[in-house]
Amino acid sequence: MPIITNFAIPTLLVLLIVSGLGSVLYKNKRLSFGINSALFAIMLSFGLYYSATGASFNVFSLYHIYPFSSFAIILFSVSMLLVNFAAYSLDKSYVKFGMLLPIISIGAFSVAMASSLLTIIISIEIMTIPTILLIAMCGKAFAEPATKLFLLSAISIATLAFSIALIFPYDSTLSIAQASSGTLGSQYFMVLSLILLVASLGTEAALFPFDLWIPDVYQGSPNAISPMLAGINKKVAFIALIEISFIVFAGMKHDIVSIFEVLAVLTMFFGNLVALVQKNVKRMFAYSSISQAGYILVGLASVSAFGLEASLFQIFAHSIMIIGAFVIVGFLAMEGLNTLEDYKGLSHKNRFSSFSLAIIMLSMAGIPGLIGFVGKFLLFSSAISSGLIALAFIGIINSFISIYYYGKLISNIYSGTPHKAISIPRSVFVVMLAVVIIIIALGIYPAPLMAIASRASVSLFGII
Amino acid sequence: MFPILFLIMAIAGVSGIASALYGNYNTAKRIAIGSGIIILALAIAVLASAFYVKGFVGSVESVAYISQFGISFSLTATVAGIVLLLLTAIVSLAASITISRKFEDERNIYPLIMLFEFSAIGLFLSSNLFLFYIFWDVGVIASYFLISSFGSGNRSHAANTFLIYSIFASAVLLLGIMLIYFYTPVNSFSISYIASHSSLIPSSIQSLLFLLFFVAFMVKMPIFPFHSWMQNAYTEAPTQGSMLISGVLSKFGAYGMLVLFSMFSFSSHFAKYAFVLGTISAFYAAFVIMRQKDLKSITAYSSMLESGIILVGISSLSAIGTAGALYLMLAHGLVMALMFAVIGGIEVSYGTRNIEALKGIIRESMGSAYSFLIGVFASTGLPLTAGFIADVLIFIGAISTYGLYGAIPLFSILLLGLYMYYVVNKSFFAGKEYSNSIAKLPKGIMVSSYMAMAAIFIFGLFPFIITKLLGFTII
Repeated sequence: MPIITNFAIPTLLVLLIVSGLGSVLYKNKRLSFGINSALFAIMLSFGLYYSATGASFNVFSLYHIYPFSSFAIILFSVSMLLVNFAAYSLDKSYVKFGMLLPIISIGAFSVAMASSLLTIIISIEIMTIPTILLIAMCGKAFAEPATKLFLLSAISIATLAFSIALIFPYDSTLSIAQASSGTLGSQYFMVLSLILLVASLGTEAALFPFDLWIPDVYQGSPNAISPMLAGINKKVAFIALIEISFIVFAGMKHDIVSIFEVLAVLTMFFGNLVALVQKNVKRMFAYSSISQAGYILVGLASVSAFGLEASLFQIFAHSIMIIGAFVIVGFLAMEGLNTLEDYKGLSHKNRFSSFSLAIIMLSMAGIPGLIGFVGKFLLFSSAISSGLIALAFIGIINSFISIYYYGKLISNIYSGTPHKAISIPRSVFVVMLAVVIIIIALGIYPAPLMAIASRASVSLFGII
Repeated sequence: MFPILFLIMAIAGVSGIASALYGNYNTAKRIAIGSGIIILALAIAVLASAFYVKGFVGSVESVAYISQFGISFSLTATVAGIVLLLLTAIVSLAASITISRKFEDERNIYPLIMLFEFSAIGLFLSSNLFLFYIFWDVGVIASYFLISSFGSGNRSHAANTFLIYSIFASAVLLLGIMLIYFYTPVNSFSISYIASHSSLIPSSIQSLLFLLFFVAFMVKMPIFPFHSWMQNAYTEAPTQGSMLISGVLSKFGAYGMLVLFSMFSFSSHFAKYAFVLGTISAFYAAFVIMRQKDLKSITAYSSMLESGIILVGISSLSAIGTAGALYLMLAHGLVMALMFAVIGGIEVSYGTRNIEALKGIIRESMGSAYSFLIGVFASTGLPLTAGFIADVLIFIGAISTYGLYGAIPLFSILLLGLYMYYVVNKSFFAGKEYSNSIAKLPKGIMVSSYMAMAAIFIFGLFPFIITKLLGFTII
């Protein structure tokens, strides 16, 4: 058994590369789609297996697999599966996805399993560069979002490297687990390093002052790619942020609490208030995803196992919801529906996509019985349990604000006069169905996901 | 013991899903009415077992739900829960009977009614605050869609106002529930546990907790400063929506108040403020009602007045006043179902609800005139109706706690009676000299108003629920 577990992950990563190369060589859309899906599914089953057994071991002193990384593997493989299905029918030629999605997924999985700070930097690059390529390859019209993403990610990676370099002379190790800088206390260079870290990863995770590029890129990107940007790239930054700030900066709990608390409040208000006045649906979801990043920060601000569990739950929930939302919105954009006005009478055009979009938005707004409610409930209770009552109250006020713009879109969808029907491609239908089922099933019975998230957060705090 | 409460929930849920899935109007109608009758029968069975089976009241049916937080899916048959379960069963059945095929998209209203019934039953029976909150929000969403999809003219404005107020209430309630979880000695959502340990909640947090819960329930009842969603929501909703929202949804808030005052021992400090607010609310409604010309608005404000009286009864903190408040919830829910059904019928027959335009309805439609009159009797607390018993109990309780001040709210009921009898006289009895035409109420509305009327008289003539159950604690 140890041989299987030790070699399974590297083998899978190699297979992913092979699959990516194979899809260029053979240009068989169906085949490479099938192989990619199968590999992601195998990755998911390994993640579930590791999480269930509580596995904890090193792979070639490169990766460290423990319940936290198992959680991240589950998260990324589920989202990758959904994105893969969406790309299959939202993009005319699947070949570039067939080539680059496996590479991007390698970056994501490596961040999940990274045992050293260097691995994290490299993995983020492995993920970001193919993403930029993917956007740029979709045509000249997409040069603008590709350039924006390129510049921002270059700056963010430089900042991250600088942040890590700042503390390296003091602990002389790149291993996350051994980085003992926690013992250094809050000296000025430590605080500076923490701030740089938050700034660099906050840029990719859409935290308030660093998020101004988000709406442009999400809205401007090809319809098949915005789900991935919001559902995977952003979550990778969160996973890296959690790993570094909670383990390496474990000694600076007070600084972390105050930084995250302020950022959470600003991010939630910014995302929600700007989303209120949006006319374009894709842009509205981009701002709503900024506000959701703020909710996730509420859990991180409480710096406790419970808070981290809540944040992980919400990261998973939001990844599923935003992928579903962007897939439906992207598919409708291809049919010429872009603004809130265009969505009037959608329920007459396509009942199922209206229903799924409504369920997704109700879940994002935090209506009980859906996964988003459980996430928010955990987040706000974790804030209260750490004594951050004001933060919880602000969070609740914000989810109250968000009801307004989601409700506006829902009432637009369910009003208006009969129109000609729109039919949905099968793989988009599969994504919608899967998203709706996950949202409702885990909303009614959240215990399994909570157990996985709880094991993950406990194991992360066990490392310190 | 046989899990009858789970059975009721399951029937409501399954039939709701079934009526949503079967595309056919007639099938959906049969499912809704059939399950409504079964649930009513089961609710009566629950009431009977409360009388005759020892240990049934307060028994808990429970399965594990989210074990990490000690949350279980547990239902309990408290006195208030049983009474309001009965009310929900009657009003939902009456509402699903009133539907006729006049709506364009009428089939979808059945699943919404079933969803609402499901949430209401869950809320009244839930034994922990987590479930309470979940069902609370589901009920709000169901009512929102009832208004926004099936309402009349200005429905989107009404629905949005309703939603904004309701979500505000939900947000405040959620914060309160999460706060209380972390401030109980052993973190718990269980109502009975919190009730027995409420004295251990630190005094610094007590007023905040009380305020959060109180405001949330005030919005839903509605009580004076938070009532402005009410008029639009009640008037723009379809007949069934008005019946359910005023008959059952407003009881969410009233039931919450009942829970609040019996759960927190420290709420006795705040009772006198609640009494004053209830009184102000009742008088406010009594004066506003005199400027209303729309029959639905008149009924809406009479409902707000009764909510004020319910709060007066609860804030008396005496067993008899609380029992009276519970009885008034039952009576008032039935009255609202009756009156809104009749008004719906009048609107169908005459095309208007304006009392200026309506004259001498009794000459053409005797049934609707007498039904409305009986509704007015019950809401003004005339003897023989359920409202009488409730008012007597409430004012005995209020006077025993607050002395003669306790009798002040009684005058608001007199004011209500003054205007209601003027309306009845003007639109129903006086006016037309003679008419040959006959405007019959639609059959469904007639049946459901007879049902509600029968219940009003049964609970008025035989106040057995209260006399049998006074020995138990209400929550």
